[in-house]
Amino acid sequence: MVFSSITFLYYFLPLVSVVYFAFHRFLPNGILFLFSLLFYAWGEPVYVFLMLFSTAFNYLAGLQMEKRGEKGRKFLLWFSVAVNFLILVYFKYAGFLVSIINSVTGLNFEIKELALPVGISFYTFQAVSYIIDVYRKSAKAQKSFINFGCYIALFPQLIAGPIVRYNTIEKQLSSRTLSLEKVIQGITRFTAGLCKKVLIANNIGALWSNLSSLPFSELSTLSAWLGIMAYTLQIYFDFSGYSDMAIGLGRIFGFEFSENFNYPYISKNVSEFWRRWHISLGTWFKEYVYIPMGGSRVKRGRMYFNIFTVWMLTGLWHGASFNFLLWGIYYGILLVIEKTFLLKRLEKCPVFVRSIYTMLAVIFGWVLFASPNLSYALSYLKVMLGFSAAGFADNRFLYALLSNLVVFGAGIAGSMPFAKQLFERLTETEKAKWVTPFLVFAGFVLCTAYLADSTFNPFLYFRF
Amino acid sequence: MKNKIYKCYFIILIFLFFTFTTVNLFIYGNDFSERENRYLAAFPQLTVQKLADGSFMKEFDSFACDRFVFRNFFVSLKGELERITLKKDNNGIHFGRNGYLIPAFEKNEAIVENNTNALIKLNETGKFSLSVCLVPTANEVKNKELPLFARNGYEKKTLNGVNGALKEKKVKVVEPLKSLLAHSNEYIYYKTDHHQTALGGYYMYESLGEALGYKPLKIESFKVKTLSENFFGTSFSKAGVTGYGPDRLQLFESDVKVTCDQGSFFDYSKLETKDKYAFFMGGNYAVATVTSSVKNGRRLAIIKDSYANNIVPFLANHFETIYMIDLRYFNGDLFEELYKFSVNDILVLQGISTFATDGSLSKITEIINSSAHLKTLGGEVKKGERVEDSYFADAVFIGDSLTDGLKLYAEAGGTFLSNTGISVTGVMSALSANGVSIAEQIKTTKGGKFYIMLGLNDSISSEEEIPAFIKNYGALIDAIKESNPKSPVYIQSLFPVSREREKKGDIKNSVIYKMNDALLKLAKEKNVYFLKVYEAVADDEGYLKEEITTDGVHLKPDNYKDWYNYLKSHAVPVYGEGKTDEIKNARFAGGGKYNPHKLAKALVEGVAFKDKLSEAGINSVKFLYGIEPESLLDGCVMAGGGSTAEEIAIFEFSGKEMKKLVEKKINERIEVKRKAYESYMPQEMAKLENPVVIITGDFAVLCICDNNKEAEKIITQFIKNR
Repeated sequence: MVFSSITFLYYFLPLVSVVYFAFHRFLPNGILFLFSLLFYAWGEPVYVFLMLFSTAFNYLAGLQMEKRGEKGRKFLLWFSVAVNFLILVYFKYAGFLVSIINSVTGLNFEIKELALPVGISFYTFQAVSYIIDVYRKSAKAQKSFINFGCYIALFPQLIAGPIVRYNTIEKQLSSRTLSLEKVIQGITRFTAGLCKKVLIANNIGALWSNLSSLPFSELSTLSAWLGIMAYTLQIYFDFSGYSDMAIGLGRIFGFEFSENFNYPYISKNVSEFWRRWHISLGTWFKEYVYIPMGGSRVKRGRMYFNIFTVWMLTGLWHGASFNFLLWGIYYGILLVIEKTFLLKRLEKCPVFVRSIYTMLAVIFGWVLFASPNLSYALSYLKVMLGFSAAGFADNRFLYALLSNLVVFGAGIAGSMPFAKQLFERLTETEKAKWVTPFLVFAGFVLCTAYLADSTFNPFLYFRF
Repeated sequence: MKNKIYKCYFIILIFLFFTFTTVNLFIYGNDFSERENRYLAAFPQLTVQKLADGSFMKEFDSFACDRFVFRNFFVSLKGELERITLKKDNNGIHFGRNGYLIPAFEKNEAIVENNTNALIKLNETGKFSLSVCLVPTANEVKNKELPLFARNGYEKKTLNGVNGALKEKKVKVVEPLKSLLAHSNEYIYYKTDHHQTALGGYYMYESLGEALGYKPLKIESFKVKTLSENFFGTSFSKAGVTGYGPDRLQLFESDVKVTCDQGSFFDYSKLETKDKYAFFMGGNYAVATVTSSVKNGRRLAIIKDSYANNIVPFLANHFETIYMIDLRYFNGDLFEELYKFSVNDILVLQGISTFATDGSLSKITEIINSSAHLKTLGGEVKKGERVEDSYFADAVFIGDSLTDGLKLYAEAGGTFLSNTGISVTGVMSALSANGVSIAEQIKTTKGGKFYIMLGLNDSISSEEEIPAFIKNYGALIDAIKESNPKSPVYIQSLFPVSREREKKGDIKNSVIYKMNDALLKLAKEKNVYFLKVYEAVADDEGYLKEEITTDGVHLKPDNYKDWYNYLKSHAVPVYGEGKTDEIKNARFAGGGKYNPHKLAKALVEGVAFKDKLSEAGINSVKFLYGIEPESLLDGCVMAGGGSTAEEIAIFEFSGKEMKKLVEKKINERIEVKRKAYESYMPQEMAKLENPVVIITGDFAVLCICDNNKEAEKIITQFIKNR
């Protein structure tokens, strides 16, 4: 199930809230666990058992680990991490690996292409974080299966993060407070995220899918730029909107998740961008991969190796294809360059130069990221660099620009802090107390309009 | 204090939310959405299977969305919001100038290519006369009304690309764009719908005239009738904004009366609904037949979409029958359908917007590759795998005395609607051998395949008479197809006459072969099969072989097998729903006291017959006399090759009822023969005037001959001596 659907907003959400607030005294996590399973099964009726297996396995591994001596703990750590990653690799990367093996060896292995279980990358990383936290004793093993299931499967962050590290939420699992205050904050945050997703990401995403599906012979250079800029906004508003909704929902049920985005597009260099983009993933890799490998407190050569390992993995985490691998390496290179000399040079540059440099780096990265394959990415880049059969600009570009001016404006304003600051200043005053609730109401209604329109499909050719 | 107010606002919001949710749970709305012209999703069925594969959830999502309370309001709200935020389109509809809502032009390269190739392949089959006309949309023709920068010329580019590719491969293409552009200031497209107005339809009709071979009527000759002033079309529904429309729906009326087999040709009841364009034929059908009061026999098949619905009323002024096939809904064998329609002219008439986004035309490629019908469609049947006798079990043979011979001596199974003297001109008013109207039987018989062998009795002596002959022949084929649309029809070539016979002067082989050529052409036109059966009986110079004929026209009894063998080795696989194997191992009930064969032999020896009579198979009892062999104790029928009226029939039976029946059937047979020979061979009428009929309590004899006295003598003697 996705948040931005009538089913979630007008069936699931009211139901889970009523049941939770009526019975949370008795079994708060049990209710959330059950509803989370329903939430997951709605989209993955079969893979829900895979998730349950993963949950049970890690639960038992955690309990065992606490009983064992140092040797046993170490064995259990590697064993469970291996099992978790084997499952992930099997379901997510098997097809990719086989195609690599085939192309390298010239053999012809065949593998049944499995549908990717939704959210497997997210919950596997959460499970691994639990195992490592218990091993490091930065958290205690969870005695209650329901609480642990609730941690793995909690529907607000189940399918698109943020990736909650176990030690940050351990206490909240056993005791958290509910309050009207939190519910209101949650509703506001959730609605903001919903608007980001439905009103901006979907809208501007339509422009990207429109332009990216054109044959290259009809794609002018400026259209290509407009398209990738639309994608740049779409992916931010989509992903951060989802995180906002997750955080908001979590808050309604009393959880405090850490932030996942912090205005990444205002960054002044790529290193900063990655501290502001998908923070929970970056932190996860830093905590559980980069630092254990020695981080940057090692020899220069080893440090570069560490950086590249982390970034190749980060790339691959996003998807099983060369695009993502290359995208990860691309950032690895940029970060190494920045670390060695560029950051110092940049500091001497004016702010707008730094901003433009960062955004260009990010936008070119998105070309790799958004393309279905490498050859598409290369052709698209060629058009962006001016080699276009359709010329530099055409009517299609002008039309697309004109027609999407408002949503572009909203997107650009929304990805910078000043809009939020302005809003906060406006609503500070006594008289403006109605503004927030009104905007929540209006936002909710408008999102509903867009969602109800999604199956609106006038039948062109009459009823048959 | 301020916190309290703030909280109050939110409590109200939460309350509103839950109220709304509850209302939504209980209000389902209508099943049919007028605005979208479709049925809304219903609550899905809950089964384990559907839960396991997730289809229940997907269907529930559609249900939740489709049946969302106040959905129409929300949809409009979205449309208005798009407009307020300066979007120039919503759901693919441009907010145009001067009240025009114009669909954006979309295309899928692969679909365009596949559709184009399919049409080229269809043309290359060479079986049809194909014309292609892609209807431009307002996006190109009315591009002045598009919003700023929305004019991109892609539709024109696509049109030109497709038309060019078709023309390069010799497909006849009609390009109405120029003429429409010349009228682009007129009201030729609806403002709120993607279709053309009646006026637009008229200009299309004008453009199509040359390719389809008609002279378009002047616009003044139509009476303009306004059907509705309140038409809000599909573009309006999709755009979801107010401030546009309504359109005026008009009809250009002419004198012809038109009917459609799928319902009203003009469906006035649709004018009361939202979907007023469905006034034309009530909507789209997989297959529809339109019949007009123009009795010119012209037929046209249109592979169409809804753009054609507005143009067909004009075409009905020039075509008596128009078959409309909508490949988006039609999934059968197209060629079987075209064959059924007996149609050679095909017009592909689709909106370019459909052509560029809907791949259903490429079904044609699949059908060409898989249709066994196409392989032999409309033309000569080449020698192939030999079929069994059972192939003919559900065959229907229509013919003259030659065909009679096929039944009697080759003992071909099947139904025989044949009789001596039948001609193409007279076939629809003739009786078959057992005395039932052939026209009536064609109507009621469900045959698996039809064989026709007619023409020698039409006494065609010069080439000038051939066209009229062919026209009548065509009418016969149409009649067969009307009642048996799925059964293949074989036209059999005429047999030539022998060298000796030609000397008489009344029949010339040169004319017969001209007729055969014309029949082959007819077969192609009507998409039926043609059999050069003369190959089985003619010598190297094209004359009927002397040694196999009795009179230079008819075959000797044994030689009918040559013909039958030819049919067996020149047969096509059948896809119709003909009768299954019904060849009966017919036999007499047995236990007779007489020996009919002995009497027959005595008669043949004793009476001087002109023709060489041979015994016809047991099925001829049924075929010629309409008596079930099983109801007789014994019997024997002797018949000639068709050159005389001579015939012997001997039946042994028991019971008064049976006697009555046999008597009646014999008299009917005599009557049939009289009618048949009256015009065909008047000189034979003497024999039929008063043929020998002797019927006792359990025995009946008919003898048609020159020497009644001798015959009577032999028969009485025989009965006495039993």
